[in-house]
Amino acid sequence: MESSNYLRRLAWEARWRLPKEEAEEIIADYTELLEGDSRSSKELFRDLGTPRQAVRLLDEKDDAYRRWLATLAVLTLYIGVPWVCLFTQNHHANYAIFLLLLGAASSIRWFRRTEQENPPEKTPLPRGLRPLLALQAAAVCVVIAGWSGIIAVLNGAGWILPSQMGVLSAWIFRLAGTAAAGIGLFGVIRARMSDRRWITLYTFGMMTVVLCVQFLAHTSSMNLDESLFAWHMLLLKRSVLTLAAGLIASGVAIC
Amino acid sequence: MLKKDLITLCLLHLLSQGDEYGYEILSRLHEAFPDTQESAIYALLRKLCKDGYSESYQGRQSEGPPRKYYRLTPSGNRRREFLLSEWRNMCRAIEALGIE
Repeated sequence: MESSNYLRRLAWEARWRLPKEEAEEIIADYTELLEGDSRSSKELFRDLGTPRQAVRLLDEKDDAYRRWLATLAVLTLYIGVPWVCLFTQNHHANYAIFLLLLGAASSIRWFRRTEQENPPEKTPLPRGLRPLLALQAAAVCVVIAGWSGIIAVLNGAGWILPSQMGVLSAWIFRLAGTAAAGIGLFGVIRARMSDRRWITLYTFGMMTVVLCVQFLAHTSSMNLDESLFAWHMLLLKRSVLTLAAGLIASGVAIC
Repeated sequence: MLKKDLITLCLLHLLSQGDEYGYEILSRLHEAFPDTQESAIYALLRKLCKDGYSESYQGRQSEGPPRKYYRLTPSGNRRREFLLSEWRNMCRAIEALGIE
């Protein structure tokens, strides 16, 4: 029982710090070494060191770990920049689509399928991925509903004052963007720890955050030169492009 | 010669006597160096494989599950001879100082 507890912690540390293939090999080795081991937890820690120490010994230069931390930092930056803009008075949304493309391309590249892995049709989707994807899709629907509310109010729907609708929709975009960014980063960590296809949560989340930025920037823009129709069309073009890029990237990531 | 090299020499020497599986190697080395954690010995064993001084394969004894066995490679044998000569030189140098 104690050895299984030790193994569980070691597996977590190995998958966090080391490349996937190496981590799985080490976990298999320790599973074999500790098979039927009856040492107490205290004895295991004394004879083997803590699981963290045991894993650190295997990555003396910390190279792989540093690379992973850098990857995580870059992916956090890509999703973090547009997310921060949801809470600041930043009305420029043009850059967001480039961040989406960069984030999607980088994440797919870093978590691409290796030759040793089974093709996706042979392995079922990881448990929990579908519900979280559904949650993210729901966040996109909420964002679109928020935008529809603005259009309805602008077209004379009297169930809420336009100013109140503005505030309400801004918070809808912020909260939906926050949820999507959080789930997206969770996806990156799960992709590292278990199945690379979790990265699809990141690409989908990135798309949602960018959509939220575009909607928020658009509703709070002060560009009075354009007609209402042109104003709507500009957002429509941007959001269709964002949705297409995000959905294609998510499709590629899950394969 | 560091303790790390000494344990490496012991690992290579053990493997030169015949193929061994992980648990056996770690137990014997931990017995010889009780203040060295088994994880550190495992890390050295793994490094030997990475550096091409040893290689592993799945083997099975008459009874029991298949295990990962380790064997010495020709470059591992050369490395063992090099470390052994280093060790002997060091012993001679220490003896020359009058330390027994």
